[in-house]
Amino acid sequence: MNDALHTALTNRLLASADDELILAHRNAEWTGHAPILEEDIALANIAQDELGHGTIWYGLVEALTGDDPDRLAFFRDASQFCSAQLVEQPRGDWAFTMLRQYLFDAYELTLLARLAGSAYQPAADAAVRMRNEEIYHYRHSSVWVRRLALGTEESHRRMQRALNELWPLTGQLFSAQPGDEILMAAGYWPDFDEMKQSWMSVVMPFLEQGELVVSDLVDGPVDRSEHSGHLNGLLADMQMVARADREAVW
Amino acid sequence: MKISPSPPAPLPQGEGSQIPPYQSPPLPLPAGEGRTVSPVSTRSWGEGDAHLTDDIVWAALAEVMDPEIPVLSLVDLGVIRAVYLAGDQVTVTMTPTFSGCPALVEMQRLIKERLQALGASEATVNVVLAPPWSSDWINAEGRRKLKAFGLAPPPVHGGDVQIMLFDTVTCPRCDSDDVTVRNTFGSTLCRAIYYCNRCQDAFEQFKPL
Ligand SMILES: [Zn+2]
Repeated sequence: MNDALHTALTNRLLASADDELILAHRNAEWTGHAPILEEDIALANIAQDELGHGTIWYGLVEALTGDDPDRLAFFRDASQFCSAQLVEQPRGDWAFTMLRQYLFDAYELTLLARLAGSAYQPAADAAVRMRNEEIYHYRHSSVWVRRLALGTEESHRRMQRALNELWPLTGQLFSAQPGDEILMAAGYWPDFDEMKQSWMSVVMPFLEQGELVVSDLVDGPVDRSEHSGHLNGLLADMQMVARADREAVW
Repeated sequence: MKISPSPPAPLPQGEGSQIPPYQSPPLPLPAGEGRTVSPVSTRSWGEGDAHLTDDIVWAALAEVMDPEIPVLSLVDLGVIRAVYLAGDQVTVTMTPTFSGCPALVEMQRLIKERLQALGASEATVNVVLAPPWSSDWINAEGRRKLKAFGLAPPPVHGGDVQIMLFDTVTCPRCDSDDVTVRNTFGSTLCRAIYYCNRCQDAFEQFKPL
């Protein structure tokens, strides 16, 4: 592997890892606060799965660079993270959380299905490993989006409001970052434009069935170095214990 | 509000890509056939010196229990993939069940501890992701123990977990198939919650993966 490919792969794996870690943290914020007990349990499970996926991605980064996953999670500042703004947003209400999860699950399944054929074997193995777990998430979040979208006037209104806020942030998931063209040429990572088309072909009809209106494409963030103002607060909270006591074990 | 099994949206598929169809990982072979054992595994290390064999190691691993389901051994669970012996140095290859399973670290520790108690001079546990663990790998004995424990065993799905999510679950107490899924997520990552309409009581299922 030449240096350019090594760097591009490291950055992309780190982006996937950061997405999972940040989303897991946002979902974990619901623990003890979800509207019903079953959902509290479900979302805690989903958060734990995403954290597991993050651990796998960080492990692949470690295999390339020797970076300790705990250091990557707890001792980097916002400017060093590569997470997408979609996952950084505060948890919002239940509609917002479920729709964010649905949009991300659909993206993740689209990615994992293709990545299973990656020429980079460790990524292919990881994708196959995660895919069946992700199917559970997708089924769960899609049932909730449909239920709330077609529920009461109030639940529909909240779902539409969530969509208006989240939709502009979805483009960043499918935006190739500097170096990604090298990965795609090497067959290491799937084509982002094709993934976006495929994702749209699933997500759009589903949202329409829920009588949700997708606003005209508003230009959202593209570059993953652009973070929302929310990441700093999240990291302060997530990294507090690790930074307060570097010898802490849990 | 109850979690009703209303139909979920169609899954995003891998169409238009180079993805090979997902193949279910091979089932572990019965004892004695196809276990990965180094050629020196049964070598004796001198007179009176107790030596490890693959049979001894596998039998010992069959006594190491899953920390979350204490009736099920790691061998029943299908997470032990291979045992390599070099004299009395033992290397065990294992694979995690669910990616985020917090029991993984504990399992590694328990395996090491058991192997050291067995007399291994060095015990190493390697964790591999491929081939990915499947609930199809839980052996017949494991399925029997799960049911006796009150956990419905996962249906064998042959690699396509989607079609099995809500079907072919029977109550571990009365064997009725008149059951309703309550939550596809449960008290641990590997459990779902069902309700048996005949017993009129809830039960847990070991989720197909
Ligand atoms: Zn029953």
